[in-house]
Amino acid sequence: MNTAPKRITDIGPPRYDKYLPPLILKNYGQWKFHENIAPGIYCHVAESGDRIYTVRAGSPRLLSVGTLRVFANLADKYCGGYLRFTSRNNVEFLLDDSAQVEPLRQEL
Amino acid sequence: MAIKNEDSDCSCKTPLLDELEKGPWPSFVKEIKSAAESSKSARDLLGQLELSYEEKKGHWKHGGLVGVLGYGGGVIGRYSDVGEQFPNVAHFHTLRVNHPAGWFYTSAALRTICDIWERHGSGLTNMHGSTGDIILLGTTTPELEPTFQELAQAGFDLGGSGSSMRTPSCCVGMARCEWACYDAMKLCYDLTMAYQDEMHRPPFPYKFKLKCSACPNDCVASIARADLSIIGTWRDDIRVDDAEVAKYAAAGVSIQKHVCDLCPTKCMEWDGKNLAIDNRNCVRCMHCINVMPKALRPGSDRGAVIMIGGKAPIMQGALLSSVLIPFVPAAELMETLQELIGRIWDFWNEYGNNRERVGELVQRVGLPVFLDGIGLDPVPEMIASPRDNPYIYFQARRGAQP
Repeated sequence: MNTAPKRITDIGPPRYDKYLPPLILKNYGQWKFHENIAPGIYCHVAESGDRIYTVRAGSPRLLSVGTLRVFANLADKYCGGYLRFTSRNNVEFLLDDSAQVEPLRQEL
Repeated sequence: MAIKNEDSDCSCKTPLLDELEKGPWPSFVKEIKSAAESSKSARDLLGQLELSYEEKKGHWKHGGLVGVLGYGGGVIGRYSDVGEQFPNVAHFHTLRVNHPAGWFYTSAALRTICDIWERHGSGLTNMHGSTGDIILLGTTTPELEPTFQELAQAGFDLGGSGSSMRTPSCCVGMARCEWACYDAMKLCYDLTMAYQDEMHRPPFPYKFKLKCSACPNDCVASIARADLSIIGTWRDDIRVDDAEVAKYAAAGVSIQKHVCDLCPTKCMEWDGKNLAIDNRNCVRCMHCINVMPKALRPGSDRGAVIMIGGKAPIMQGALLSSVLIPFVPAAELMETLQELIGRIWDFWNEYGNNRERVGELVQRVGLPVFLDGIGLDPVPEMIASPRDNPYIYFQARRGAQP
């Protein structure tokens, strides 16, 4: 009897909203404006008044799993476990709490 | 730093690569060295790369067909021509893994990918490749299928390569951008799912790329890189908040110099109090909105322009996409695109030469023939620069001296 697990193909990528932070899910499509607070630090403000802070860090694009795990740890510590990459290969940490921006910047 | 390599004759010293660790920006050499602490293939990669820098010569052979069962793409074969000297990179295949739209991850998802890749490959990645995919750099042929199945168990699939529909990508869109004119992440995901077969089993004369940017800033550079570019735009007027314009002026932004004077069609006027915009002459360049994001916003009647033919220089030279459909309301995008893509593929499959991108086909047969072939009527927006066309201003120029 064949006990091998069924081979999975053509499942496509994870659904587009699977890894979105709760604050982004709540304000999806409802952003009003943004401010550039400092180089690499942004604040997007939603119609609801919610604010999300983005801290962007440079990357050489070629990354080892060690560095990716460092990013994952930072995301856990500051961002509830969520992060994203940009179309220019940098990494962005998305924070609800402005007080956490500076400690994250320092740690980066 | 010297690299210890017990399994090959690697010269162990990398003085040329060490130079690339200097400077303020994070270094890819540091990343390879970090992986090399536990990965033999990363160690040999350093050795081979140092040799390439010494000899000013690449040491990867051209191509090679490898893949996983039932897929014609997603894996790029990479073989070293100095495999005897660096046996751990003799086979160093790349896997393209379809990224989540907008490149969002949870730390758990990222760690899962890291764990799989540490078990089966070099531990080196590109986050992300130019296609948008997660690029897993460096493994051997026997590891491909186990890696693929572990990724599938974790909810990830391979991306496109070769003459296939390439992995569609998109900007952050409505997730975190106030300028999104349509839901780029959802559209990108829906298109990816609709064309799984064309992505995994290459059916075309050459590659076909599709990128979704939710506003004319075009953050994924779809106009330059995609055969089919879907760029968000609006039909009505730019929304102006006069009080916020005044605040920008008070804060030191020179509205005349930094906004009006830089408008490409000079369709804005500032009298020191009010900003007047002649929206009929706005070309949606986004400059004014980018300068004053609190004061100006795209209009409310939103959708996208669909453009065709962009590509990088390989084969016949670089092309920018040109307009195919000037405006499709956001709600009708998916349906319109599926119909249009089907017609484009039919025509391209029928008349495209081998290794001819769709933009090159349009150039070869001419736009009128192509439009006729896909059943679209010509419209003025298809002209590359209608505003610069001298015939439009013929009346006004008639009295001018030659």
